[in-house]
Amino acid sequence: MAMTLVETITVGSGGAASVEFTGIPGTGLELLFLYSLRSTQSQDIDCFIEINADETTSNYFQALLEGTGSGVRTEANSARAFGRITGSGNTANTFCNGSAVFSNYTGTSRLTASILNVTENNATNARQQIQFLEYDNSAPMTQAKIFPADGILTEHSTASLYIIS
Amino acid sequence: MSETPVKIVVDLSKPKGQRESIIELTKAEIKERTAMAAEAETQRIADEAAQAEAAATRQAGLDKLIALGLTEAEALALTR
Repeated sequence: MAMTLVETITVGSGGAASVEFTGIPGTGLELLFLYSLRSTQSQDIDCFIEINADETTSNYFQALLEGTGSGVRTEANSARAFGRITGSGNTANTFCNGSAVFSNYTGTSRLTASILNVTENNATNARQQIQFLEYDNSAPMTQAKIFPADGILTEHSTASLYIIS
Repeated sequence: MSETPVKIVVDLSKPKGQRESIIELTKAEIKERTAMAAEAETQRIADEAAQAEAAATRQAGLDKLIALGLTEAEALALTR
């Protein structure tokens, strides 16, 4: 298998509400996102992904296992969930990091992804997440928008997209 | 920071160097973000309450086991 970097987005000084890849080429078997993000929201906060500009939450399903720093919690529900982003109240200059692999992204039914994500904070409340996402698609994945549930992505936030073929 | 939030769009169908656009959000997109932020805050409060309740329930259970004569280590071992 070969892994090819398609593009890297780095947020500039003004911040950005979202980063969005469009025109994703259908030349691979899997898509890999690697990201390092921080938001202006005071606390770390959910990150979302929107595939093919589909805002319909019920088309997405996530299962989550999360360490909260003081316990463990789980979630299983309809959500466009995509890890969690380090917030402005966390230790200065720290970012969340994560990876997400979408299998068979050129298929036309039931897209699935595995996501690993951690936030950073030199305090108890730093999250560690294992997450699985299913998207009830009807067309190949050609667009992906990544954005925080609140606040905007700060300067130096970075997201890279790789194609695995 | 810009008064109107922006999004960064990278069109991968274009050649490298011509892909990135920085676009101001539309009013509809800003409205959606506002709604999502309110929803996230509601969820955060609910999550914190659930965690606090779970911790309190766990501690109450441990206290009862200790009151029955178990050591704290024995009670903790039973809860693992």
